[in-house]
Amino acid sequence: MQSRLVRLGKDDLRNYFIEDALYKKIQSNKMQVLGMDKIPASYMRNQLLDIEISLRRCKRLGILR
Amino acid sequence: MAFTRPMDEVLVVLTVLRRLGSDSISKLDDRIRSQKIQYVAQLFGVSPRYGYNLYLHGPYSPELARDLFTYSENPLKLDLRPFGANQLESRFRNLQSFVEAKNTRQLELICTYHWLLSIVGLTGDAAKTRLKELKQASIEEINLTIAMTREMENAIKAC
Repeated sequence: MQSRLVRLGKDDLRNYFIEDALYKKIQSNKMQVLGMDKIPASYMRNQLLDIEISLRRCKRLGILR
Repeated sequence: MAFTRPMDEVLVVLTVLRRLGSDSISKLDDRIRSQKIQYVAQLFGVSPRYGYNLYLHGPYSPELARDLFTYSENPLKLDLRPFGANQLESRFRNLQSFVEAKNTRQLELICTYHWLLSIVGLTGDAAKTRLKELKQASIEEINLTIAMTREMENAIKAC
Protein backbone atom coordinates (compact mmCIF):
# COMPACT_ATOMS: atom_id res chain seq x y z
CA MET A 1 0.00 0.00 0.00
CA GLN A 2 2.72 2.45 0.94
CA SER A 3 4.79 1.76 -2.15
CA ARG A 4 1.67 2.37 -4.26
CA LEU A 5 1.14 5.70 -2.52
CA VAL A 6 4.72 6.65 -3.26
CA ARG A 7 4.25 5.72 -6.90
CA LEU A 8 1.11 7.84 -7.12
CA GLY A 9 3.10 10.80 -5.89
CA LYS A 10 2.72 13.75 -3.59
CA ASP A 11 0.43 15.71 -5.93
CA ASP A 12 -2.10 12.94 -5.80
CA LEU A 13 -1.99 12.99 -2.04
CA ARG A 14 -2.64 16.71 -2.13
CA ASN A 15 -5.57 16.25 -4.52
CA TYR A 16 -7.17 13.91 -2.05
CA PHE A 17 -8.14 16.88 0.05
CA ILE A 18 -9.66 18.69 -2.91
CA GLU A 19 -11.65 16.08 -4.77
CA ASP A 20 -10.98 12.68 -3.29
CA ALA A 21 -8.82 11.94 -6.34
CA LEU A 22 -6.43 9.65 -4.54
CA TYR A 23 -9.25 7.41 -3.49
CA LYS A 24 -10.58 7.18 -7.04
CA LYS A 25 -7.13 6.73 -8.50
CA ILE A 26 -6.22 3.92 -6.17
CA GLN A 27 -9.58 2.35 -6.79
CA SER A 28 -9.08 2.34 -10.57
CA ASN A 29 -5.44 1.35 -10.23
CA LYS A 30 -6.30 -1.64 -8.06
CA MET A 31 -9.03 -2.57 -10.51
CA GLN A 32 -6.45 -2.80 -13.28
CA VAL A 33 -4.00 -4.71 -11.12
CA LEU A 34 -6.58 -7.19 -9.96
CA GLY A 35 -8.53 -7.27 -13.22
CA MET A 36 -11.75 -6.78 -11.33
CA ASP A 37 -14.87 -4.81 -12.18
CA LYS A 38 -15.64 -4.18 -8.58
CA ILE A 39 -13.46 -4.18 -5.50
CA PRO A 40 -14.85 -6.26 -2.63
CA ALA A 41 -16.11 -4.17 0.29
CA SER A 42 -13.80 -5.97 2.71
CA TYR A 43 -10.82 -5.06 0.53
CA MET A 44 -11.78 -1.39 0.39
CA ARG A 45 -12.36 -1.43 4.13
CA ASN A 46 -8.65 -2.04 4.75
CA GLN A 47 -7.63 0.14 1.83
CA LEU A 48 -9.37 3.22 3.24
CA LEU A 49 -7.71 2.78 6.59
CA ASP A 50 -4.29 2.36 4.96
CA ILE A 51 -4.85 5.58 3.04
CA GLU A 52 -5.88 7.39 6.23
CA ILE A 53 -2.77 6.20 8.05
CA SER A 54 -0.54 7.29 5.16
CA LEU A 55 -2.20 10.70 4.97
CA ARG A 56 -1.85 11.25 8.70
CA ARG A 57 1.80 10.24 8.43
CA CYS A 58 2.31 12.78 5.64
CA LYS A 59 0.66 15.47 7.77
CA ARG A 60 2.71 14.55 10.84
CA LEU A 61 5.91 14.76 8.82
CA GLY A 62 4.88 18.08 7.30
CA ILE A 63 4.56 16.76 3.71
CA LEU A 64 0.90 17.73 3.73
CA ARG A 65 -0.99 20.35 5.69
CA MET B 1 9.69 5.29 22.34
CA ALA B 2 9.26 1.69 21.17
CA PHE B 3 5.81 0.73 19.97
CA THR B 4 5.11 -2.81 18.77
CA ARG B 5 3.72 -1.41 15.49
CA PRO B 6 4.57 1.56 13.22
CA MET B 7 3.93 4.80 15.11
CA ASP B 8 1.31 6.13 12.68
CA GLU B 9 -0.77 2.99 13.10
CA VAL B 10 -0.58 3.29 16.88
CA LEU B 11 -1.57 6.97 16.63
CA VAL B 12 -4.74 6.00 14.75
CA VAL B 13 -5.52 3.33 17.35
CA LEU B 14 -5.07 5.89 20.14
CA THR B 15 -7.10 8.50 18.28
CA VAL B 16 -10.03 6.11 17.90
CA LEU B 17 -9.85 5.16 21.57
CA ARG B 18 -9.56 8.80 22.68
CA ARG B 19 -12.51 9.89 20.52
CA LEU B 20 -14.54 7.14 22.18
CA GLY B 21 -13.34 8.20 25.64
CA SER B 22 -11.62 4.84 26.19
CA ASP B 23 -7.89 5.52 26.11
CA SER B 24 -7.39 5.50 29.87
CA ILE B 25 -5.52 2.54 31.39
CA SER B 26 -5.40 3.67 35.00
CA LYS B 27 -7.90 1.10 36.32
CA LEU B 28 -8.45 -2.56 35.45
CA ASP B 29 -11.93 -1.76 34.13
CA ASP B 30 -10.44 0.93 31.85
CA ARG B 31 -7.87 -1.50 30.49
CA ILE B 32 -10.47 -4.15 29.79
CA ARG B 33 -12.69 -1.57 28.09
CA SER B 34 -9.92 -0.19 25.86
CA GLN B 35 -8.98 -3.74 24.82
CA LYS B 36 -12.57 -4.60 23.89
CA ILE B 37 -13.22 -1.30 22.11
CA GLN B 38 -10.12 -1.85 20.00
CA TYR B 39 -11.33 -5.39 19.21
CA VAL B 40 -14.68 -4.01 18.02
CA ALA B 41 -13.02 -1.08 16.19
CA GLN B 42 -11.02 -3.61 14.17
CA LEU B 43 -14.23 -5.38 13.19
CA PHE B 44 -15.69 -2.06 12.02
CA GLY B 45 -12.50 -1.47 9.98
CA VAL B 46 -11.61 1.85 11.61
CA SER B 47 -8.49 0.78 13.46
CA PRO B 48 -5.34 -1.15 12.48
CA ARG B 49 -5.30 -4.78 13.55
CA TYR B 50 -3.68 -6.19 16.64
CA GLY B 51 -3.46 -9.94 17.28
CA TYR B 52 -5.73 -11.11 20.10
CA ASN B 53 -5.78 -14.20 22.30
CA LEU B 54 -8.46 -15.35 24.70
CA TYR B 55 -7.64 -14.48 28.32
CA LEU B 56 -9.52 -14.36 31.62
CA HIS B 57 -11.44 -11.22 30.61
CA GLY B 58 -12.03 -12.23 26.99
CA PRO B 59 -10.02 -11.35 23.89
CA TYR B 60 -6.83 -9.52 24.89
CA SER B 61 -3.86 -8.22 22.93
CA PRO B 62 -0.55 -8.08 24.85
CA GLU B 63 0.91 -5.86 22.07
CA LEU B 64 -1.93 -3.36 22.43
CA ALA B 65 -1.44 -3.36 26.21
CA ARG B 66 2.26 -2.67 25.72
CA ASP B 67 1.58 0.17 23.28
CA LEU B 68 -1.01 1.76 25.59
CA PHE B 69 1.49 1.67 28.45
CA THR B 70 4.24 3.08 26.23
CA TYR B 71 1.93 5.91 25.19
CA SER B 72 0.85 6.65 28.77
CA GLU B 73 4.51 7.10 29.71
CA ASN B 74 5.29 9.21 26.61
CA PRO B 75 2.09 10.99 25.52
CA LEU B 76 2.06 12.26 21.92
CA LYS B 77 -0.20 14.86 20.38
CA LEU B 78 -3.15 13.14 18.74
CA ASP B 79 -4.95 14.42 15.65
CA LEU B 80 -8.53 14.13 16.85
CA ARG B 81 -10.15 15.53 13.71
CA PRO B 82 -12.61 13.29 11.85
CA PHE B 83 -11.23 10.81 9.35
CA GLY B 84 -10.48 12.25 5.91
CA ALA B 85 -12.71 9.87 3.95
CA ASN B 86 -16.43 10.23 4.64
CA GLN B 87 -16.93 6.47 4.42
CA LEU B 88 -14.36 5.88 7.15
CA GLU B 89 -15.84 8.58 9.37
CA SER B 90 -19.28 7.09 8.84
CA ARG B 91 -17.95 3.72 10.00
CA PHE B 92 -16.50 5.41 13.06
CA ARG B 93 -19.92 6.93 13.84
CA ASN B 94 -21.50 3.48 13.57
CA LEU B 95 -18.89 2.11 15.94
CA GLN B 96 -19.51 5.00 18.33
CA SER B 97 -23.27 4.39 18.34
CA PHE B 98 -22.68 0.72 19.00
CA VAL B 99 -20.21 1.00 21.89
CA GLU B 100 -21.30 4.16 23.70
CA ALA B 101 -24.25 2.59 25.52
CA LYS B 102 -22.46 -0.66 26.35
CA ASN B 103 -20.79 -1.22 29.70
CA THR B 104 -17.47 -3.04 30.04
CA ARG B 105 -19.06 -6.35 31.07
CA GLN B 106 -21.32 -6.28 28.01
CA LEU B 107 -18.39 -5.55 25.71
CA GLU B 108 -16.41 -8.37 27.31
CA LEU B 109 -19.27 -10.80 26.69
CA ILE B 110 -19.85 -9.62 23.11
CA CYS B 111 -16.16 -9.90 22.20
CA THR B 112 -15.83 -13.31 23.87
CA TYR B 113 -18.95 -14.62 22.11
CA HIS B 114 -17.73 -13.23 18.80
CA TRP B 115 -14.33 -14.86 19.40
CA LEU B 116 -15.90 -18.23 20.13
CA LEU B 117 -17.93 -18.06 16.93
CA SER B 118 -15.43 -16.57 14.52
CA ILE B 119 -12.02 -17.71 15.79
CA VAL B 120 -12.77 -20.96 17.59
CA GLY B 121 -15.48 -21.77 15.04
CA LEU B 122 -18.09 -23.01 17.50
CA THR B 123 -21.75 -23.28 16.54
CA GLY B 124 -24.20 -20.84 18.15
CA ASP B 125 -25.31 -23.36 20.77
CA ALA B 126 -21.78 -24.48 21.63
CA ALA B 127 -20.64 -20.86 21.90
CA LYS B 128 -23.54 -20.11 24.26
CA THR B 129 -22.58 -23.02 26.52
CA ARG B 130 -18.91 -22.07 26.48
CA LEU B 131 -19.73 -18.42 27.20
CA LYS B 132 -21.78 -19.46 30.21
CA GLU B 133 -18.86 -21.55 31.52
CA LEU B 134 -16.16 -18.99 30.85
CA LYS B 135 -17.97 -15.90 32.07
CA GLN B 136 -20.40 -17.31 34.60
CA ALA B 137 -23.02 -15.49 32.57
CA SER B 138 -26.72 -15.68 33.39
CA ILE B 139 -29.31 -16.71 30.76
CA GLU B 140 -30.44 -13.06 30.54
CA GLU B 141 -26.86 -11.92 29.95
CA ILE B 142 -26.30 -14.58 27.30
CA ASN B 143 -29.49 -13.72 25.43
CA LEU B 144 -28.63 -10.04 25.55
CA THR B 145 -25.09 -10.81 24.33
CA ILE B 146 -26.44 -12.76 21.36
CA ALA B 147 -28.80 -9.91 20.46
CA MET B 148 -26.05 -7.29 20.79
CA THR B 149 -23.60 -9.37 18.75
CA ARG B 150 -26.22 -9.57 16.00
CA GLU B 151 -26.71 -5.80 16.30
CA MET B 152 -22.93 -5.37 15.92
CA GLU B 153 -22.75 -7.61 12.85
CA ASN B 154 -25.62 -5.71 11.23
CA ALA B 155 -23.95 -2.38 11.99
CA ILE B 156 -20.72 -3.65 10.40
CA LYS B 157 -22.58 -4.87 7.30
CA ALA B 158 -24.28 -1.47 7.00
CA CYS B 159 -20.89 0.32 6.82
